[in-house]
Amino acid sequence: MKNLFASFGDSFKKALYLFRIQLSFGWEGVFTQFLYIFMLTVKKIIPVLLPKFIIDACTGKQLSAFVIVLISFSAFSWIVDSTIGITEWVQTVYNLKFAHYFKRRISAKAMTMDYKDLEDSEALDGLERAMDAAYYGLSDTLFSELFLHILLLIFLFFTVSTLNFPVALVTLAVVLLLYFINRKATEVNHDFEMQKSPLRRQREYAENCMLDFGTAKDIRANDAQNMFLSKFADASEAEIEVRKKQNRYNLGIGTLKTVLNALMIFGMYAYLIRSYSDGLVAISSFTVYLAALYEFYGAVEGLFGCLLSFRESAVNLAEIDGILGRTETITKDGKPTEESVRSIEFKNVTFTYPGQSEPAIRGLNLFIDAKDSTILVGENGAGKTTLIKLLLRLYDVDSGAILVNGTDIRELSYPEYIAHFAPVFQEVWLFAYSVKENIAFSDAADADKMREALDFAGIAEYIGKLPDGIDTFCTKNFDENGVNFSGGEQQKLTIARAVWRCADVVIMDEPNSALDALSESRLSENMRALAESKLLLLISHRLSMSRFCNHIVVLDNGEIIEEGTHTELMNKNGRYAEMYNMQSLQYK
Amino acid sequence: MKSQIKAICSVLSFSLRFAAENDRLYIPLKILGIIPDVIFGILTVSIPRYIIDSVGINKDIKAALLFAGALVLTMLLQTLLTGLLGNAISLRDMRLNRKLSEELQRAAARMPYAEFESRQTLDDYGMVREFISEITVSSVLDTVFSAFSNLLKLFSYLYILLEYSWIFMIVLIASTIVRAVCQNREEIGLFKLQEKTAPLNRRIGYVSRSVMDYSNAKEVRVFRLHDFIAEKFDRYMKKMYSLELSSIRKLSPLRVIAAFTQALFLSATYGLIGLSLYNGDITVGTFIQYTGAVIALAAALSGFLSAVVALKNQNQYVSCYLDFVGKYDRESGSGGESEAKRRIPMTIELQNLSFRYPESETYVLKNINLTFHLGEKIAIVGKNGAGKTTLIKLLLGLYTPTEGRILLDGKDISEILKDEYSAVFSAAFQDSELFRYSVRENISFDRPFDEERAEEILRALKIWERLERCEDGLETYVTRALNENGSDFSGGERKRILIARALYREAGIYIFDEPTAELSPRGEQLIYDSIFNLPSVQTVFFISHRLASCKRCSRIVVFDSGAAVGDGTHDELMAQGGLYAEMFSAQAEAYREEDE
Repeated sequence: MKNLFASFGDSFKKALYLFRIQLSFGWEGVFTQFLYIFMLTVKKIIPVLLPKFIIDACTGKQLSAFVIVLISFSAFSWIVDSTIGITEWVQTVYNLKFAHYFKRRISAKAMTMDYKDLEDSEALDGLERAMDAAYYGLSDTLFSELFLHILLLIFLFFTVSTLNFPVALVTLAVVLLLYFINRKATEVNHDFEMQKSPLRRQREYAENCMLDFGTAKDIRANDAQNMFLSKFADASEAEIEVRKKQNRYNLGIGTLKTVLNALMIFGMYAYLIRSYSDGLVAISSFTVYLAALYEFYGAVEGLFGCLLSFRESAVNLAEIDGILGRTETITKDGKPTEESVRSIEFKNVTFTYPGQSEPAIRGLNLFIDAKDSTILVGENGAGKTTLIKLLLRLYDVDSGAILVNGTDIRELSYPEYIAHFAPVFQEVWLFAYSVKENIAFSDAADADKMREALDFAGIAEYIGKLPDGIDTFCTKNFDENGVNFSGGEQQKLTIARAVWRCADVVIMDEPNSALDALSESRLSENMRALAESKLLLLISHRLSMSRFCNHIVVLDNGEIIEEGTHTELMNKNGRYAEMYNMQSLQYK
Repeated sequence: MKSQIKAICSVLSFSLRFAAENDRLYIPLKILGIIPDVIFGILTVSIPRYIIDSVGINKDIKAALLFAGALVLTMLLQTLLTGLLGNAISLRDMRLNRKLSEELQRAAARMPYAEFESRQTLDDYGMVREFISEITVSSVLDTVFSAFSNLLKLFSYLYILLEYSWIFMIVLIASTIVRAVCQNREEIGLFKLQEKTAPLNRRIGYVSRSVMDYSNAKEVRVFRLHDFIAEKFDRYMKKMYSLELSSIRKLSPLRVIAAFTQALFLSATYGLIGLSLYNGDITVGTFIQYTGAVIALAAALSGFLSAVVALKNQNQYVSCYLDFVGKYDRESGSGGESEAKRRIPMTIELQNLSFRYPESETYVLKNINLTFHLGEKIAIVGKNGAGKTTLIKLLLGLYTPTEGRILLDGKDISEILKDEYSAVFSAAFQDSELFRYSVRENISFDRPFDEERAEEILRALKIWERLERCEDGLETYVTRALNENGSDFSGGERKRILIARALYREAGIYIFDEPTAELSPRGEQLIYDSIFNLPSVQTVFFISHRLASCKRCSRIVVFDSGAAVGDGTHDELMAQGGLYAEMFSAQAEAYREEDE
């Protein structure tokens, strides 16, 4: 029993929190809501009371009273219905605001959450669940509905207790019993929902694979439609099986509740009829009691539904809080970064990806001087991209440290620190916005500077020829004249994005993988020029890129195995020389 | 008006036919569900009359108790029956929704691939997907039957009231007309609003999806895009609120008018009935019954009107769906579901082949004439945007030529059954992704699995050992999204499994569209080696920017701005000194310069 109230107390506190959020959108929203609910209650009460007044007036032969009742009723119901109609509508806007409030906060969190958490399926699931919770799981009408049901119940209880107080108490006892049954049923239903949710996920995945553009090519090329259809069917059927059990359970509970309720109401009716025949109740009041009793069950169920949504909202809010409350290791706090990056040093760095057993970087030491241009080379999986991710603090090192100008980067304020870097990542990502926005991330961008950046990437001419120029949308998602850029073009746009940023350190991870031979050679010419003024950190499988880098780092299995200039390494005749010779031989 | 009735009829005929075709018992069950609803409705309105009159006039307590018992029993029975039928129907609803989705999935699978790139199709397609996922056929059917049941209730309450006076008919019709007009006006206003908010909603959806999609998480963090994205979100939201509010302001007088009509209707009927009571024409019990019927009638009327409006609105989805499914019904002429046999073509010939996107003026490929033969290893090279990938998509039948044709062993491919044609090819693309199913399913899908053959390929690709180390072996799931014991494969491993998928498929022609771009030269070489060494792979197309790999091919075709500008072996093309030679030397130069 104590536990019961404790859990409700917690739900109540959470509901208060939600209520405060609603208040922050202005009092109008909350006012509208309460007005709406109040009018709804009135609308329910009118048909219970109205007949009594009419019957009293008519059987008492008071024509004037009858007319007054009628006129006030029609005025009343006009006001009530109009108010309901309008407030119901206005509420939808506040509803939207409420849903968006959490969506926005979760989105903001998703953007600041530690990058490593995004590879943790638990955190991702949590994020998805929080988003779902924000969409479907929070009620913004908790208090107003509670208010409605309590108001209605008080009215009904009061009505019944004018008949006989002990009888009213008996109904209360039955109500309490119903409450416990409902509570149990909620728990069981929750279990059913948990059983269904992975099945739903499977079903939706198969369905999306069949319907999405991204997977269409592969499914067509492999004639694999049948597999997805049967996966979809299997998951659907399994879901239906669970639903079957759930239905059966709920039917049982529903029957139990209805029987209890029917017994209670029948008892009340019998009592009422007896009281009337004993001359204790007037015929007009008799009709009120009859109607009130009939409304009773609905009101009780309504209250339970409302209490349930308190709990549901609390559970869902906990889901959201779980995400919003996650601590981040990367924050604004910290020392400012010096004006320019003079050196980057990896000191005895070891790093293992979460969930992996083998370290990706093993006790690595590397000094990068701003005056040099550095290229990281090595096989897939050697740890090149990992080093970049560590430097950009997408991950933090497990042991050792990365120093910039001699300071551990973990001590620096992240936004300031990261402003010194302009990376081109291996995987190309463009937003479905304009070319300009994709490069500058702002609508206001200097056209000349934009042209320079595009020119560097070797795509200025192509963009210039498009009818909308730099305002051309990427993909047709939001604009009919949008362009589906090819892989190479997309890569060039991301290069332009990095150049536009005007940072001290330019990082390019396989910037030429989708470029044709001519674009590639043009890009390397441009990069050679860029390296004069910037710290250039490059990753490339094509060792031709190393020709303008005076610092070549060969990685293997998370360790540096060779380091030096091209000539030094060629003379050393080690792995680099082997790789280089193999490649250059192919071009002989 | 006419078009609205037509719209409602088309929703009715679609949903009822769909239900009847897929589940013979569905409609009978639904009707069975309506009957108790209507009967019990009448009973709950009528029984109190008899209770009241039994005690009030006849002073017959026994009878009153009997009627009270009947009322309670009615309530009990209604709940039980509705629950029982509801359970049966809820399962059938799920099945119907599933059927509809499957129908759409099949249609989507038949949709020509190129249609995915047309704005119009995408819009319609978005609507169709919304129909199956958000609206669902079961809720359309719900609306249909709610309209029926409310109509029946309407008539039954009317019947009760007509016993009293026909004047109700007139009052009812008058108020219904006014309310229907109001509701219709409101709908028109809401439709206009929706037209304005739909694009906003799409944008908001995109913003929140792009936040949750962590493929851009690196950009968001490093480029500090928080404000950029939040600003977009806020801007769209603000616009949305103001649109909503202004339409509410414009339309709310309609609701006041409707409420006024409703109030008039109610007080008129109460007045009439009360007057009879005043004159002693009816008993108190009858008064209660009639007023109860009036309230119930008003509710049934509202229910009916809003169901009709909902049906009218659902029509746009339904008609969109029907158009879509109808368009891709059997158009591709896939004769049967039978698995087409492997076929090894001797030649594939491109005749005057040209292609441009339906909405575009410029040709991506212009007048290509090429013939490829069995056993050729062909490299397609060229600058970015030269049309290489488009050529591959045309070969695979994903696009249809704008002009010219493709001949397979002399037969126009448009005359070949789609299943049969696609069995000729096996392909891997640069942006191919593994599915979140087991490795085995990713390689052979649901076809019988030849483990030996798979092992041979996986060994050649040097990924076998990695899979052997997994507890579930080939049954290991890709990612943990659908299976807790799944494994996260690295980029290089994923690529190799994807190539294994393409090689495993028994086809006549293999196509690799830049599947190795991110791999190291050694990794790429390994893949080329395994492809060249597999005896089952005879004819193969490669697209790669690494010209050193192309050099190994027996034939190189060079594309520039949509035209084939070179065709021959590496040596021949180098001797010709065209674009290929220029590109090759650009890459080679990098290595040569350093040797000075």
